[in-house]
Amino acid sequence: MKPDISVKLCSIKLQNPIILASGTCGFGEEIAKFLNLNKVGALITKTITLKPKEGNPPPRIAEVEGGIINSIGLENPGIKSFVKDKLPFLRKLKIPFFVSISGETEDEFAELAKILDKEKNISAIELNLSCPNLKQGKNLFGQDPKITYETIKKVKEVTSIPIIAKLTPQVKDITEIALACHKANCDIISLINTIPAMVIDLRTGKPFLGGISGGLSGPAIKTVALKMVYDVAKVVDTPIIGCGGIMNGKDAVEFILAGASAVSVGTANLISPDSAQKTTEEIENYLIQRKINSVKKLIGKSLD
Amino acid sequence: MPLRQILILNNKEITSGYFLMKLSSPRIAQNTLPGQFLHIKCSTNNNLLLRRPLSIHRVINKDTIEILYKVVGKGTLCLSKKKKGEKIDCIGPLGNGFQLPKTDNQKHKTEIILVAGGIGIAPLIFLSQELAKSRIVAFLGAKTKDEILCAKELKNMNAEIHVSTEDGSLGYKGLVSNLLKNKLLTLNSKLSIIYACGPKGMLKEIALLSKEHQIPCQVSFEQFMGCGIGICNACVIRTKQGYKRVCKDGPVFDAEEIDWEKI
Repeated sequence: MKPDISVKLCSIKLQNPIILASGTCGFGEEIAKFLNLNKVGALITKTITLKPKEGNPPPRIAEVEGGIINSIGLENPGIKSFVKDKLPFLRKLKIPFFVSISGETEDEFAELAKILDKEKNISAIELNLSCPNLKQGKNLFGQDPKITYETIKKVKEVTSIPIIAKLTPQVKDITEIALACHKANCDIISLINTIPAMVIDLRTGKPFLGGISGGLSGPAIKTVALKMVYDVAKVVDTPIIGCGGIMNGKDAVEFILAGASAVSVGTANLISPDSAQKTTEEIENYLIQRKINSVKKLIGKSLD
Repeated sequence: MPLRQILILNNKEITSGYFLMKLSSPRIAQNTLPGQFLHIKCSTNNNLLLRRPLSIHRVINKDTIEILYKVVGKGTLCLSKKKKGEKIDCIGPLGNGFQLPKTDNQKHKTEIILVAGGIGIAPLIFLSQELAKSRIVAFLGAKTKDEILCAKELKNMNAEIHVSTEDGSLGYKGLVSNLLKNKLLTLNSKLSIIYACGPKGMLKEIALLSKEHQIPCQVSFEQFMGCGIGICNACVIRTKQGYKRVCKDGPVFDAEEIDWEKI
């Protein structure tokens, strides 16, 4: 008998736990030529900002030991063009899709959420809290529990769409931030975002990436992410989307055992656009081999 | 478009550091256009995660394709070690290829100027196959004479060939762009098109020449990529309309489109 691989994230039902991570599946259209999107759990769009952003100067990607470093710089067409040009395609999908947003201030996050609140079919809004808060210099939203709390609160005031907080690993204690999310009635917590990293080009003696540094993703960050998911699952009962270096079904199961209700796959999509399908099959096989009838039984099992 | 494990029919070093790989794929052979590329997974090693974009070099008999590549780093080194009979994971054909003269009549009348810098020759042979009806004038540039590739193939297609080497070991001593500059003065460039592939610096020089002589010019970029299918926006270059993706909007661009000052 086929095991049940469906999961739930607050009120959102996913047919399987595999979510395409923000920035690694665009707005769905290109990847749809290589992957049947209606077979994945959910999709998270590229991060949208209020105004269009042209992104960082190239080179924007580097391949390093165990991962890749990207420095795209949130290139996106802006919310207006997103609603007009990208939403119609996403609406036709039979799976839930989440819209990732980023603001320069808490109010800007709320402004974006307010615009999305008027649009139909958006299953959740993901707050990309790994971006600098203009009012606080170089600090990221997700580095301060108070700012995290207030940003979520302000967004929740203007929309009834479920909210996902995507957390940065650049913190001294991830549980503090998770508790702030929980206190703000955040619906879902997603972690982790990429880890800051850089490459020096030996030929030029200068930083290789156009944006100087970027975010490390891929297998190299998996164990770091796993610990953060485990730590957060211990202190809050908010559903978790685990993310960081998931390349196959075994990796995904580890995150689920650590406390994630679903996982998002990022770097793997860039390498093979159909990797989500393979990962889903591998989760299913894991369950069959161990005679487990539902993936839900694995959620947080390592915490017992 | 499915991903495919493709059979390697042959993979041999044709000159020091340059390899020719023959692949069996009727699907790709029958559906590809000159200038398009394959995105190839060279290894399953976690230190070599990303694919490598390699352009289609030649199509043979509707079922076989060739890739011509230079070993420049870890990825191509891994690829060079693959053996006949092994399979490799390829996505493609991808990207926008060269725009060809539309009708046979136009092909007859047009003089094709090919400009290749080093391994930049790779996509231009497939292009020449498709333009067999045209008169082809090829400018091949490289560092040394050993790196001048495909001269024989071009000769067999009755192309007129001009060679430059940086060390002067064969043909004109200097850059291929300078060689083209000298020859453009004598060519009847009224009905010409320039197709160029090579390093960015060379492409910029060719683009400037094409503008000066009012010859339409298409350039194909060699660029390290992320996804290769237009989702990650990692491989962008500066155009007059902002950043564009080399993988999806290119790799071939109209030279006019590119912002050469900021590239």
